[in-house]
Amino acid sequence: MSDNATSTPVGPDGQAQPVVLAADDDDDILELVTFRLERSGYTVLQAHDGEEAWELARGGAADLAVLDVMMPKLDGFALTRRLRDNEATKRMPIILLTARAQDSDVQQGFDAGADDYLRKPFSPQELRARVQAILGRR
Amino acid sequence: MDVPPQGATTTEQRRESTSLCITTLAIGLIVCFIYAVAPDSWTVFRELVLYLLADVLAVTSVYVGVGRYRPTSPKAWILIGSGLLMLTLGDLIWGLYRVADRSPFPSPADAFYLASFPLIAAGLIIAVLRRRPYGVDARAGLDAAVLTVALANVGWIYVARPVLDDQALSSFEKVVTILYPCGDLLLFAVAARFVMGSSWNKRALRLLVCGLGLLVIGDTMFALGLSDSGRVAGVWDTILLIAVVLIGVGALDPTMRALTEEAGDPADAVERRLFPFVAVAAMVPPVILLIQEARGEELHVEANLIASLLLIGLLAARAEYMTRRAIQSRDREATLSQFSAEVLAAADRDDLIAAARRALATFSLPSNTDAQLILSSDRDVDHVEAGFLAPVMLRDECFAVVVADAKPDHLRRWQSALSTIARQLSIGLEWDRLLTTEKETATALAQQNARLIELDAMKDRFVSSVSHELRTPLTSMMGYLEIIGDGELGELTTEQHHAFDIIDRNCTRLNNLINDILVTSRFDSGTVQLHRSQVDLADVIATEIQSIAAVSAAGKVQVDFVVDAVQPPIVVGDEDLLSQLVDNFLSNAVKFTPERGTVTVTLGERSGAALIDFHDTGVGIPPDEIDKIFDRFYRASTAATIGGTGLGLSIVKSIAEAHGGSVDVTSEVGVGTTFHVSIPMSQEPLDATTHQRDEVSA
Repeated sequence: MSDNATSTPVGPDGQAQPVVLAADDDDDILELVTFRLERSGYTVLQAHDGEEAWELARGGAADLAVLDVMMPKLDGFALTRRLRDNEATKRMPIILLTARAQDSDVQQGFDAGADDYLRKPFSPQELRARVQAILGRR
Repeated sequence: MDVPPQGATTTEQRRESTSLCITTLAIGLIVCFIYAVAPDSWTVFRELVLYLLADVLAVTSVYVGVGRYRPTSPKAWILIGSGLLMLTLGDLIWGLYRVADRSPFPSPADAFYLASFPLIAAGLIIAVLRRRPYGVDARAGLDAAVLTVALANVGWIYVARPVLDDQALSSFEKVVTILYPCGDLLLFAVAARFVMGSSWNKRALRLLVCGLGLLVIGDTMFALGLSDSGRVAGVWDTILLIAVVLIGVGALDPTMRALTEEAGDPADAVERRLFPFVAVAAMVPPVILLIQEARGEELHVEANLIASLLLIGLLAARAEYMTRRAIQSRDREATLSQFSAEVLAAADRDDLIAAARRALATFSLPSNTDAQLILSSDRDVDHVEAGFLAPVMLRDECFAVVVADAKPDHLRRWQSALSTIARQLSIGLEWDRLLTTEKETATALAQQNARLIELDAMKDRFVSSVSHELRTPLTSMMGYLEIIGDGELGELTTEQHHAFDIIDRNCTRLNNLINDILVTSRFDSGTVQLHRSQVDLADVIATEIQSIAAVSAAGKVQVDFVVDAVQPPIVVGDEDLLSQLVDNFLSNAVKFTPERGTVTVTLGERSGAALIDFHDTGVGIPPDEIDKIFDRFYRASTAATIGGTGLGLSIVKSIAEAHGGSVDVTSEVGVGTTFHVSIPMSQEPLDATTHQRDEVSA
C-alpha cells in the first residue's frame, strides 16, 4: 500500500517520482492500478470516489490522474470538468477508465477534457505505457 | 300475388291457354267480318246466327276464363260477363224483331241493353278498387272526370239535345233514347278511371280496354245514327260486335287474373302517357263552338260554357293536387339527403338516433300521429302494431322500428322514404359499431405495442448494464492475470502455469462473450452508430489475418488471401465494425478448421458490391441447420465440441445489414464451409452529415 505522503516523494534512486492520482470505487481495481504504477516507479494517490479525488488533486499534488468514469458522489466526467476549471489542475493529464465502451461515452470524456481513455478490462501494461507516454512527453 | 292460376301452372299449359285465347279471338273476328260483308238480304243468318254466335262466344269465353284461371276475386269478370249476357239477350230480341220485320225500337231489347251498362261498370269498379287497394287516387279520378265531362259535353250537344228536340219521338222513346248515352257516359267514366289509375299492359287488359273503347264509340255513334235518320247503321253494329268479342275473349287469356290484382307499378307512367288525352279533352268545348261557328250552326253557348267551367275547375284541382305531391316529394328528398349527411357526420349512436328522430319528425304525415322511431331497448318492438313498420337491424337483431300510422294511400306514398331512413339508420349504426370496435382494437394494440417497446427497451438497458457490471470484476481478474503472467509475482510451477492458462483463457472467453452480448444488444436497441469513412477492405482483411496469425499458426491452419479484383474494393462504412466482421469470420474459420487445413479469404467485386468469401476446409454445417446458424445463440451440431458463444454470426449479419449488405453460406459436412459477404460500395455519398455520426435505427 502506498503511503500518501504530502511531501514530494522520492524514489529508491533518489529521483523525484511523478505522482499519479488513481480514483476508482472498486477497491480491487484501485489496488491493481496502484500496484502496476508503483511497480513502475510512480507515487500513487488513492481515491475511492470523485469527491475524495477532487480533494486530493485540487491543490495540484498530482502530475497525472487515472479516473474511473462511474464513481459515486462525483463521476469521472464531472470531476474532469472540475479539474479543468481549477487553476492548479488545469494542465494535469487525465486518463479515463470506462466500462461503458460506447463511442458516445468516449466522446463525452474527451469533451470534458480528458487526454486519453482506456476501456475496461484494460491491460495494466497498457495503462503503464500510456501514463509513461504522457508524462514522458513533458 | 303471383300464384299460378290453376290449370295453367306450367309454361306448356300457359302457352296452350294463350293459343286458346288467340284462336277464339280469331274465330270471333272472322264471324264479325262475315257479318260485315254478308248481304243485307240474309237477315236471319246475319241478325240471329252470326250476331248471336259472336255474342255467345264472348259470354262463354268470360265464364270459361273465370272457371279456368280462378281469379282471386272473380266478381269483376262475372259482372262483365253478365253485362255481355244482357247484350246477347238484347241482341236476340232485337234480331227476332228484325226477322219479323218489326221495328225493334222501343222493345224489351232496350231493357236488356240498358242493363248491360251498370253491370259492366260495376265489374270495372271492383277492378279499380282491387287494383289499388290502398285508397283513392285523386289524380286518376280527376283525369277520368275531365274526360267524362268532355264526352258529356259532346253527348249533350250532339245526342241528347237533338233527341229532346225531336218532335217525331214520343216521350217514352225520348227517355229510352237518352238512357243510352247516359249508360255510355257511366261506362266511359268508369273505364277512364280504370285506364288512368294503373298500368294495363297485359294482353287480357288491353283487349278489355280496346273492347270498352269500341263499345262506347260504337254505342255513341249508334245513338247518333238513330237520331240522325232513324236508320240502323250496319258498320256500327259490326263495331259493337267486335267490342263484345274483344271484351269476352280477354277473359280467356291467362293474364285475366291481373284485372283484380294489385297493380305493382305506380300510375305515374300511365299518367305521363295519357295526359295528352286529358289536355285534348279540356279543349273540347271551345272546339265545338268553333266548329258550330264555322258551319253556321246554332251555338250551344251555355252547355259549352258550363263544360268549360267544370273542366277548368277539375284541371285546377288536378294542378293543385300534383303541386302538393311535388312539394311533399321535394320535402321527402330534402329530409332524406339531410339525413344521409347526418348519418355520415354522426359521432356516435346517440347522434344517429337523434338524427333519425329529427328526420322522422319532418314527415308531416296526414294523420294524427307522426312517424316515430321506437328503440327495442325502450319497448318490446315485436308487438308494436302500426300501418307502417320498418325494422332497423343491427347485427341481425332488431335495434329499433320505424312506425307510422296514416291512411293506406298516404302510407303508400311515404313508405319508401321511411324505409330508406330505417335502412340508412341501420347502415349508420353498423358503421358506428365497426368504427367503435376498430378504435378500441387500435387503442388496445397501441397500448400493447407501447408496453412491448417499453419492455424491449428495459431488456436492452438491463443487458447493457449487466454487461458493464460484469466488466468491473473482469478488469481486476484480467489485470492480475497479466501481472502474474509477466512473472512479477514470482515464477509459476508447471502445474500452476497450466491452471493459470485455463483461468486466462476463460477470462478472455468471458470478456469476448460480454463484448458480443453488448454489441448484439446495441444492434437490437438501434443505438449502433456507424462512423463512416472510406474503408479499404483489403487492408482490413490483411490486418485481421495478421492479428490472428498466432492462433492460426498454433492450429497449423494456413490462411490465404486472394484479391480477385482489378482494384481492391473501397466501401463507405464503419471501419471498427467491418474489422469485427472480418475477425469473427476469420476466427470462426480457423477455429473450425482441423490441422493442416486451409482458410482462404477472397476479396472481389460484382455489380457495385464488395464480395468477401471466407472459405475453410473445416467440419461443415449440416444442411438442415444451415438456415439457423445466423440465429442468435444457435450453434451447429458439428460445432458442439468447439468453444463459442453462438453470437458471432448473428453479429456479422447485423453488421453487414447495417451497411446495407448481406451474408450467405454454403457448406458441406466434412468438406468445408464458405461464407459469402456482400457490402454495397455505392452507399450514400460520404458527406458532412453522414461522416459524423448517423444512427442505424432499429
